[in-house]
Amino acid sequence: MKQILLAAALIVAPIVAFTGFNLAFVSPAVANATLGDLSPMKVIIADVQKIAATGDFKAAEVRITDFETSWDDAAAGMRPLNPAAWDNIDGASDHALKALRKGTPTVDVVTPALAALLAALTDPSKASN
Amino acid sequence: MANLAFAELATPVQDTSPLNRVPKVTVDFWLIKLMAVTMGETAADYLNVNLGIGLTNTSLIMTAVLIVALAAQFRQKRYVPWSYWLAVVLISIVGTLVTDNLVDNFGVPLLTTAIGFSIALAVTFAVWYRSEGTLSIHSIQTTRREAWYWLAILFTFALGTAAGDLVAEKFGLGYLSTGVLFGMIIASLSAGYFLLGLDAILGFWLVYVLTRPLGASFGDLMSQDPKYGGFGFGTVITSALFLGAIVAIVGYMTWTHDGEEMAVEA
Repeated sequence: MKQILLAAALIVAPIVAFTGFNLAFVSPAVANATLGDLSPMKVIIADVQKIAATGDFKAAEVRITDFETSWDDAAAGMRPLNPAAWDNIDGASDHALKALRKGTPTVDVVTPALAALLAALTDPSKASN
Repeated sequence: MANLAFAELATPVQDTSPLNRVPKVTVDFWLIKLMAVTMGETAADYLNVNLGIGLTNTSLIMTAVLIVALAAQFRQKRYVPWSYWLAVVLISIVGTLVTDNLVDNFGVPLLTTAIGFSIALAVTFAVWYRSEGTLSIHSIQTTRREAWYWLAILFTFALGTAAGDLVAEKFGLGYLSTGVLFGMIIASLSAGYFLLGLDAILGFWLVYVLTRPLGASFGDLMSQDPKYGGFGFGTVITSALFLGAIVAIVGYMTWTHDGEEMAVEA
């Protein structure tokens, strides 16, 4: 029991020090902080929209995978900049990916999902539905 | 006397082998462990994103590969660096994928995942202690004890992944801050072991969990784009670099028999 308490104290002490340091010296994340330049990702989604408009959902799915790759690759660095905004885009991205991947994609599902994703990339502060 | 000798002969050979089947905990043990988890993180990311077969299929394939590697490890009946560390690297990848699956495919919140794996780990230790009377990692000389050891390791990786992601995501900490935080806790526990008499086995398993998020932060630092403060190596080169370093150290260990442990405590 003494050992468990010692271990707990050894874990808690640095957490307290770290939290205290953060509260005292590091300014809290700005609520409207930008996620950086999202235009390369918007270009891809505009591309996907163009391809999807031709009815070739298979090719659209291939192209949106490029977006998925760069989005996921950047996640660890981009999300902490503004987690709420990032989550908005990520949610819209999940919908769009599902729309193109689940069963047989249809225009009435794919078109609004892609539009919502592009809107989220344009203004990440707005939650999509 | 004759009876005694006979009794000794009658005991199954594989279960009385005096050889410890897992390595001594040395500086290079922690070095490879840290590189293995770093690689586990970047390799799981790479396989998941770039293989293009989806998270579920990636997980199933990697689990199958892990089972083969563990079977090879269990057959050794002693510590053989390549099979031991191959199993650790694969557990690292599969442990990450398990947590990713729970969160992404089944929508289990990270907090639930972290608490769930904490309980699973605690139960594993409790039953292990009940069955063997010790949790010593210096006397893993039977197949049953080795099974407990690997089960505990699997849960530490899954717990470490969930705890690290939880801290990074819920508390909005970047990977660098997350790495500093977990590094500080590990330093504190090490100081406790060397200066304050923290129990070696307890300290070992706690640090084993905590090196997972530390390695993940390190992996993100290596792979992330410079515009997010990383080194921009990407997941492929980062994984390849660390795999190369692990192979080199394991090769060195095989050559020098470093990390082997003959004596077994009761």
